[in-house]
Amino acid sequence: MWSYHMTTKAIKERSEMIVERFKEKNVTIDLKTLNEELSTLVETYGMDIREAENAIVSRIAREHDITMYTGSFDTSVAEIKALTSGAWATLEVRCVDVVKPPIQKMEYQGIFADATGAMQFTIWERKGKDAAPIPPIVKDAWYRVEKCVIDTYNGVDYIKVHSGTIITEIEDRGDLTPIFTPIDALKNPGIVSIRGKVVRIFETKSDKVKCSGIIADETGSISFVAWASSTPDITIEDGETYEFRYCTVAPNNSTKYPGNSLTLSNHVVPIELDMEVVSTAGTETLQGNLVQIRRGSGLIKRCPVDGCNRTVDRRNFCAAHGVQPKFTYDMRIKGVIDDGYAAYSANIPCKVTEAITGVTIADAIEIAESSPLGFEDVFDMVKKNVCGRYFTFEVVKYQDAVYVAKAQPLTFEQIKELAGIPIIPYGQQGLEVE
Amino acid sequence: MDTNKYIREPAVRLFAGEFNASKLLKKYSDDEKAPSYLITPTGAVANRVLISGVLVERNEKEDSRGSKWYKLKINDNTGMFTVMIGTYQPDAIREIAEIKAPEFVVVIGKPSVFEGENGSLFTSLKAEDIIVCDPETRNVWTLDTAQQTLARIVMMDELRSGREVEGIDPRAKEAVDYYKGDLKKYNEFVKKAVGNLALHTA
Repeated sequence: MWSYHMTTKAIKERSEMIVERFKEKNVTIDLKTLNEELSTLVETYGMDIREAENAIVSRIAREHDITMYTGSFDTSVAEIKALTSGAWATLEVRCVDVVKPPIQKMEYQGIFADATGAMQFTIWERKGKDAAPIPPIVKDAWYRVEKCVIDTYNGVDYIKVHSGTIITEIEDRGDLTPIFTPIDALKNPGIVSIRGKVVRIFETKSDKVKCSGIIADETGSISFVAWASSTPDITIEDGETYEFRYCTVAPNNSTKYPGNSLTLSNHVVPIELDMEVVSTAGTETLQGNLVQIRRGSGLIKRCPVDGCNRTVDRRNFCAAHGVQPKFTYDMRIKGVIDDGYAAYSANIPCKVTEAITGVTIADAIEIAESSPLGFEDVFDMVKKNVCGRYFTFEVVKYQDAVYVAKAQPLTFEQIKELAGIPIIPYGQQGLEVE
Repeated sequence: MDTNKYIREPAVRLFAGEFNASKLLKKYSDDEKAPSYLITPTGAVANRVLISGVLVERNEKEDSRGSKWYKLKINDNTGMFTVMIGTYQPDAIREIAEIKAPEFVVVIGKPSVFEGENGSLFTSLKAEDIIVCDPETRNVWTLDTAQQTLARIVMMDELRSGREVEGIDPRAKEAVDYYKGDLKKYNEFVKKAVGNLALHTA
């Protein structure tokens, strides 16, 4: 920030800039006179440089009967962290991501970052003849962005580069270390970086989605999506831990899972983190009865196309990729956990399904391949073994849906301790059936 | 309520003694397909119920068009549940075909109330699923149901005394005017069910 104690050099630079601004309007100003006037106001009278500059510019503009912008336009370099919607700003930033713009009227879309944070940018098509030309915007290059405006779209602030914005490439200042945010602190929309473990990959239902699921860390969990258009090459593995840099947090439109969700950028870096700690991170304990086993539980077949993972039907047909004779097998339970007060849609992955049903995926494949009704037989086995039973589930909660990371039968001894109800005989009643 | 969003109704835990004493079945919309809720004496608001016990009777019947249906009796030591399974319960009708009495079972179902010829009301359960279980599951259910029933008795006691209870389903208050009997009766069901565990669990 500028202080009252401006250096002579800085005042000279400001003076030169004012001369340039008037030159654009065909008004010639004497640099020496201007420089003296500005240093008097700043150094002798202790005026703020911007106030002094505005005072001089508006006076000269009046004298020449022209209009000059003298708002609170600040040419000092602002920090991204401090930007708020509606502000005009000058930034010195690294372009950390460039994506294919969703509409033709945009030339570029991506993310700019500085040491204090990151923000999405949109560079609109340049139309007016006065529009300043822009250099090519490439990932990892540094730019000075003058006179951009901070605007809001879908609740997320972004840097709007309009035809008056000046962008110049500046010297490379190297990599930036993002500030990592705990997941439960992701309250406000914006660009964030997190470290987390992928605890669930959803089945992809649309070609527009490259990958979606849930990421958890030690503090909470959040859903994520990687769009095929902006992150076509991303690979995310279930159960792996990553640095997800420069993701966008925004409220999603899903009625099923309302709340914030993350849109991933291309900056996804696999990292080594203590898996034991992270695997239970973000989970909570849910005791309840598995009151329903839905169709689609048991042994299923998945599309083998990289990144697809959709279930294929009995004819091995994938909705996106046609007939897939080389499908892969998977086992799961889609069910409902009910504690008597609420019912949660539960997704139980292969490992946990095997553990609670006692049916391994190898057993299930053998049954399925040796009988025409094998899949139904596996479904019936799974249902008979776990439906209506009580379990203690370790889950990642996601509104009324849960992803089950672990499950163990709830025993009578355990509930006896938890319930704290004295178990004493009541008269001589036994089972009336006896 | 957001009509776009489907919220599955939780399965209320009820002992047979309380279930059979519950006669108030209400709909909260004129829509023919609107869900029904059984309001019980302790103030449970149940569109769905989870029960466990011993299947003691399994009656296979046929309706006038020759379709099979089943009338079951399941005992939980506080009374006898009547459970119906017809062609509208496709999962349960497949399951009951392979089950014989006596057997420990878990049933998830929807309550309904019929008016008998003499005007008396009769409460039964339409099973969505019926699953054979081990005694352990029945015992866990008994304690789970005991806990939830005791919590409702406390709540109903407060409501009957005209005090507000935070965070409850407002429909539970309908039980205050409808049921007048002593709440001790429901406490006795809990004691009976839990007391039976003392004899059958070491």
